[in-house]
Amino acid sequence: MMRRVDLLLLPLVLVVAAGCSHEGLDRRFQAEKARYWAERSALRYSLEADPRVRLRYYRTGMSYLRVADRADTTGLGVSIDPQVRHDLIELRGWGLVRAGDAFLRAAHFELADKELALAQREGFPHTRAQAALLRAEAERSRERWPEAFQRYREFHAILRADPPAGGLDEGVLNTPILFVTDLRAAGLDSLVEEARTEGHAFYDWVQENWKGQACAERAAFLDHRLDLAAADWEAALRSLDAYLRRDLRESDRLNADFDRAEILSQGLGRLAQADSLYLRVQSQAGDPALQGLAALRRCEIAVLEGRVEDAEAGLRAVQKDFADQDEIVAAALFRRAELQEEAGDWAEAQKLYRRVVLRYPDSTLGIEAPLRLIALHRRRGDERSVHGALVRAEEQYQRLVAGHSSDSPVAVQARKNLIDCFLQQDKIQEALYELEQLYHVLGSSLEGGEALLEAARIAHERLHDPRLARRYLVWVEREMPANRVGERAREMLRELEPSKGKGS
Amino acid sequence: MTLLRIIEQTIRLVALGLLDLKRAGVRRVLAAILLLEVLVMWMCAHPTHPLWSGWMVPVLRTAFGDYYLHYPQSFIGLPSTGSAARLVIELFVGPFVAAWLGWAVLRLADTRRRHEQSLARASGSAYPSVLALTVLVALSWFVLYAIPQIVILPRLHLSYRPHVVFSLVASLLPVVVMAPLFFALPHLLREGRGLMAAIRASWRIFRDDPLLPLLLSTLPWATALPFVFLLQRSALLAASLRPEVVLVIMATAAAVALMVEFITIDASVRLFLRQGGRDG
Repeated sequence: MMRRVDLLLLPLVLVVAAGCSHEGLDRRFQAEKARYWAERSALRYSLEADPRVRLRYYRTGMSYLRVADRADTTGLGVSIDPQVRHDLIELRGWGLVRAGDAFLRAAHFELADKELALAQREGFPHTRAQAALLRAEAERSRERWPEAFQRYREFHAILRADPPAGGLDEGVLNTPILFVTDLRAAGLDSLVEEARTEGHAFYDWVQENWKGQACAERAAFLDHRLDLAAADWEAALRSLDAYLRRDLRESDRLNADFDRAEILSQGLGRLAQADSLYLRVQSQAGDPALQGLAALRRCEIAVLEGRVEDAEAGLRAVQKDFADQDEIVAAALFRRAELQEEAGDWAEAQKLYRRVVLRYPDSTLGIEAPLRLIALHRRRGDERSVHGALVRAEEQYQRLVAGHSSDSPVAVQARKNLIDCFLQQDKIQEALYELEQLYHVLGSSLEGGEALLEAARIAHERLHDPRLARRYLVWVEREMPANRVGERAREMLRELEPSKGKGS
Repeated sequence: MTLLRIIEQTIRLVALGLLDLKRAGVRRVLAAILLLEVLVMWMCAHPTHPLWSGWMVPVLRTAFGDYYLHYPQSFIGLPSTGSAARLVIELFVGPFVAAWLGWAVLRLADTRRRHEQSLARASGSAYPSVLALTVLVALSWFVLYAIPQIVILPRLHLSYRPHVVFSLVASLLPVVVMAPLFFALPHLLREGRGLMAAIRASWRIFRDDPLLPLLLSTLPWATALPFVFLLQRSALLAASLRPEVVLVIMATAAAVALMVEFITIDASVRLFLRQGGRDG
């Protein structure tokens, strides 16, 4: 039996044991626990159809931040196991980047930038690269183009200093193209040229650094898309021709042929050449989605050349040949409906639009089709049918909103179309409510701000309530003071000033 | 003796065991040992805690590698690490507890003798022989378990269902083979004539009427089965509920196992006394 003196020794043993405890290990354990729960809550949130997306992302960001806090190596002794120190730095960087990403989605830009800057300073090279890329994203979403370009350059510099051994993924490879596309959309021609040059240099470096690997091949292919993004068709064609002179696999060659056909048809108007390339892709490509797309493009060329019957026959063939490709079949049906509408066969057009709605409700054109049906009835002057179509469309969009995650493209587009339906029925309060929900989903992004501007415009013009309109505008101004939507809100506020007296 | 009568007797003995749980005054001992087991399992689930990481981490590292020093792996691996820790406790503290429980029931049921010693002193003096019995049982059990499970089973290349059935039957084998030792503990405590004499006496009593002790010996095995089934899916439990659920199941399994241990000891003592300790 244990004597009293043994019992007295027990705390001493515990104290000695605590003296040689593994503090780093415990910190790693706690950080891993925080990571486990952060990921679980992120997954739970992603499955909820709750319109308070910003709040959801903010909470997720805070959970990720707990991981970073617990993995902080500050105060740990030098004797800590190098593997544990490595794991802690990795976990901290991971937490900071995830937190930054979540705060970005929650439109807390300053907070996101703070965490990402920390990750960029403390993390391993791949964490630093991720952080720099997200910071560029943050600046881009606020339309702060010079700052975004600077971050984008930092991202490339980190990659060049420490290239990842496994190569680069598709998302990273596509960033230069997205960037050029955005700059062009913003009308910043000088920056477009700079970004294009930087992008070409990046693709050259990728090809040089990972010679013979998949990402180098992909970079060689994407090079012409930079010129396409800048709408420089001739340069794109030259890049693509240079790419096609390489020793390519048949599937890569067909992908390039498809892009070449796009340039010839959409940029240079050389329809016959484009048609023969599309035909080659349609008959030889192994990817049914690409084949279907090529077949659709050939129908478009037929329409442009005035061969409407050929186009109709081609679209029917697409429906039959690519029956398992929902987006392709929906596009073929939708285009047939448009052609029938243009030809004046409204009954047939209506039938085809309905088929798109019934069979492919989640497809891009399936979401568009109910509005087209309403427009069709309105053109015919059939007001009773307009009313029926509006009711059906409203139900359809409400089903889509409820059935998808709030920030999914399907739910966002369905909500926008639902607002349109409400406005057409003069359901102004419902439209305003849905615009506010749309703002909650989109956050303080430009698109979210535009939803509130639209709400202000509707409140002013349709409800004749300048006080409510001003409330929306002040909301926008407060949430996004430094971008063009904020500027527009200030302008609208100034315009509303004379009506202030009337309204009150 | 008909099967129905054996089942009726088993139920009667189990009910009596449950009643004795209160009457024998062993609830504190059982609670203390359960607390110790749960504490050690918690240590295995959270091995990096500064209070015990100094010795827990090297032990776990040596026995299982670094894998169980992470979250949630430490909880998912608890059926391995926690069971190993429980085995160690049951091997060294278990004999003392078994002796304690046995003496408590003897005092309650054996009215023909006067028991002067305190429970703690009596258990302490019986500890070496009960430890020897425990080690013997553990070694035999290990050999009987290991031969079919580790040597034969992998060579059979069975599909899932036959594999499970074989595993189940093989796990019953040590229980059946060790059933003749059912009366060894009461003999050791009451007669105090050494391990070999206890084994011989136990075998003699068992030989006369083997079915009832055989059925009672399978009781711990049968009550452990649902927990084994659950704990084999610890990763699934952790993913679908939360990792800490594994610890809760382990703790429940330990509590049930302790209660069943008391019931079987109670039954063995009462059956032994019913034989009038004649083989002693």
